[in-house]
Amino acid sequence: MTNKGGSGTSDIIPVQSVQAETHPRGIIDAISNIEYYHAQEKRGAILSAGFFTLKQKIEYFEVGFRGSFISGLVTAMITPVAIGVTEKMIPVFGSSTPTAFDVFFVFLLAFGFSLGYACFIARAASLYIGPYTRSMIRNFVGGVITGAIGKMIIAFIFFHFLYMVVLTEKHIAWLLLKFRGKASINTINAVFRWILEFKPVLITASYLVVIITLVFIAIPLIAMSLAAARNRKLEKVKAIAENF
Amino acid sequence: MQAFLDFLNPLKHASPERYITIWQALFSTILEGFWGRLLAFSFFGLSFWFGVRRRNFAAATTFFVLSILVTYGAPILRSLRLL
Repeated sequence: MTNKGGSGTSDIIPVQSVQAETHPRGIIDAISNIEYYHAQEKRGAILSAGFFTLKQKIEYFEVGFRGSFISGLVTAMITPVAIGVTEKMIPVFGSSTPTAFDVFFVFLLAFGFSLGYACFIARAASLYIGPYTRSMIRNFVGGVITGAIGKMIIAFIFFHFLYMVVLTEKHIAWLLLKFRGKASINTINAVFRWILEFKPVLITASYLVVIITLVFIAIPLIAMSLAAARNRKLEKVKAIAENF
Repeated sequence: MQAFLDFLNPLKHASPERYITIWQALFSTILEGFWGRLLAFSFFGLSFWFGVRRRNFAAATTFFVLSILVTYGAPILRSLRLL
């Protein structure tokens, strides 16, 4: 920082600190760095988007992608279980007749994590202010969105593959007959019927994953749009104040 | 030493049937009905508290897994005849 002259009117030029030039290992590191640069830009530091190099862009994209892809894939796999509860095929809290609370809770369990994660990312996206932070957030949120879409496509194909190719009557019978000596024929029949009844749940789950992914993507994008609108308003106010 | 080990062995104080019944009652209380729902909901709340507020992802993941275990644990234990 420099302070020219001693007349009381300070001419402060904040400069970028090298201290925060760390490579993000995970979502926390990425958000912390975004917060750090947001604070600098908010205090008047002029950081060119060009300072955010290609290597850093790839790193932020990768962190966003990895986080949303893995967490999304795990929660997507719980979705058929949640639908199975509503269809009264999977017991919850030891009961096969779920109450309204049980249904609400299993869906909260299935999607709460993804939606909480989206809100967490939205908080970082709302720090969209100067050119440097904007570049950081665009790459990070870009990775998050790509990871979520990748997860959605994989889950959609996987559930359809299970329904159409893996869980055919022939395959199920072939697999269950391997347990003929270990389980009674009644048990094998019950499992066979249960799998056939459960199969359509996979198709419903695949479409539900698509809807939830779209909501997951929308949350940080809305936060970014609101932040951009806020920035435009601030620029207008600043221009009015300068011309006054 | 043997006396101490005997003291630790619960089967010296209760019959095997009673011992199994105690565990079944415990699992039934934790995983079913009102207390199961309260416990699962509390674990879920704690998972969000640690994840979002405290930013402790290890604790958040642990509580999330515990919440899933309490929610879907009863049928698993029933299939193992522990409930």
